[in-house]
Amino acid sequence: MSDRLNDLLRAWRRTRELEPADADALARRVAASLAAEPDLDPRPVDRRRRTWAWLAAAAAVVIAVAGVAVRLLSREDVASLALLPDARLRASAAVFRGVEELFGDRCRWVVESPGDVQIGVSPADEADSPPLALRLVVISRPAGSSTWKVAWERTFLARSESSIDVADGDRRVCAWIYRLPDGLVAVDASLDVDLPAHIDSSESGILKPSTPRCVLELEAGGVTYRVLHAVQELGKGASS
Amino acid sequence: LKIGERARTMGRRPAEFGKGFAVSRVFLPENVDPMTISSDEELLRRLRAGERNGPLDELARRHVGRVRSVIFSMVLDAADADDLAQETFCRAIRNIRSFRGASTFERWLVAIAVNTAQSFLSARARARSSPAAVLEKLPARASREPRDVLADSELGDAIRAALASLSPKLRTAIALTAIHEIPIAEAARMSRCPLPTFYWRLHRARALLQTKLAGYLKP
Repeated sequence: MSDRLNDLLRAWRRTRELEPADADALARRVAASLAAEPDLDPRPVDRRRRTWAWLAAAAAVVIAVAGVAVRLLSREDVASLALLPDARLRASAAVFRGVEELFGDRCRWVVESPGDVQIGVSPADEADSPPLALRLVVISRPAGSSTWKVAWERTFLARSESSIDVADGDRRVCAWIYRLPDGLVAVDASLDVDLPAHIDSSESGILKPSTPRCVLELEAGGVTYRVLHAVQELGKGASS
Repeated sequence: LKIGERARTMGRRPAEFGKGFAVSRVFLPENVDPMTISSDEELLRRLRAGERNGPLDELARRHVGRVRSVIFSMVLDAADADDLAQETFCRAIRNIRSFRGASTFERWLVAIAVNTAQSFLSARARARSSPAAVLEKLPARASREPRDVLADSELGDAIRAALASLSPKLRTAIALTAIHEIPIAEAARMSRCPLPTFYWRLHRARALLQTKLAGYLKP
């Protein structure tokens, strides 16, 4: 992969490399800190310990698989919370169309939260593509309860390749979405909220439209929280 | 590298050159005969045999420039890069038993450096320090490392500002591949990121940089 951008970045890298004297000084500093390390046993891990490590890893995999199975079984419960119902999807598509009509091709994204809408406007120089709805949802369930409730939600309406970074109270919510050639959608989303448990999630992944994914689960104060990511085709909501 | 220069960057087998890694410059004192220099494997063998300071000093001297350069392109702060390079070596030596020679020692070190820098960037993000704030903390131009006009130029500042404007994940993707020429699949493994996601991050980072540096990319 050689092009002008790469050439420029590599030339910049060379200017940032240490001069020999500085590299030597840093090496001496590193060597001094290594010498201060406690006694080391640098021999490779022996076979018996490795066997135990493999057994422990296998046990962890079994536990994880069981957790995934439980999560899959309960997926139906949470999917309806993570996805927009058809009527709401149509309404969101209408909002996005309306904002685009208002701002022309300068509209990049719309973020819906309960009681609020934010609109991102910037010079549009990226390829046109069908809009998507990205849902970031935190659901919660008290210990002993079987019912999940939405504790926090944001809906991002945007075209592929949009990067969204918006203030959300005194915190920020960030997301990037990119439509892959095979119809899947790459999502990189960060949220940081107090519900009152502090939820700090920064996750990347590939999503199939209309199939939510649980990216984080945690327990705090006797309440279980899950962070869900979901994407939906906004065009389909508009046409149905 | 000229042939004579290659002789002075010994310590790695010839097969280790040209696998996508840029060759680090290793500066040898004038009185050192390149032909007597130990390979990394030999230094590790001596370390495992109980010899302590000699091999550690040599491994640090040999690889610190490369490790620090990778970290710098991720964190964009000279002092932080120095500290994290030191931390990388400490982590590596504490975990030296897990190095089994599946990759070269330098690649193993760089993977630890990436992990160390990512942890640092996550902690910095949690501390609510934006990339713009990081830039403000930096001197407008580095006084320590200028090697040619690019470092002391508007272009050098523009590249650094463009990199700082990327999210840490996008910056890591572009740093490992475009800047340090690590093969994409290996860079994805180092970042602990699925390959499709890594491709997307790289695509996104390149698109943003091409926009921000458009004025410098015209032929």
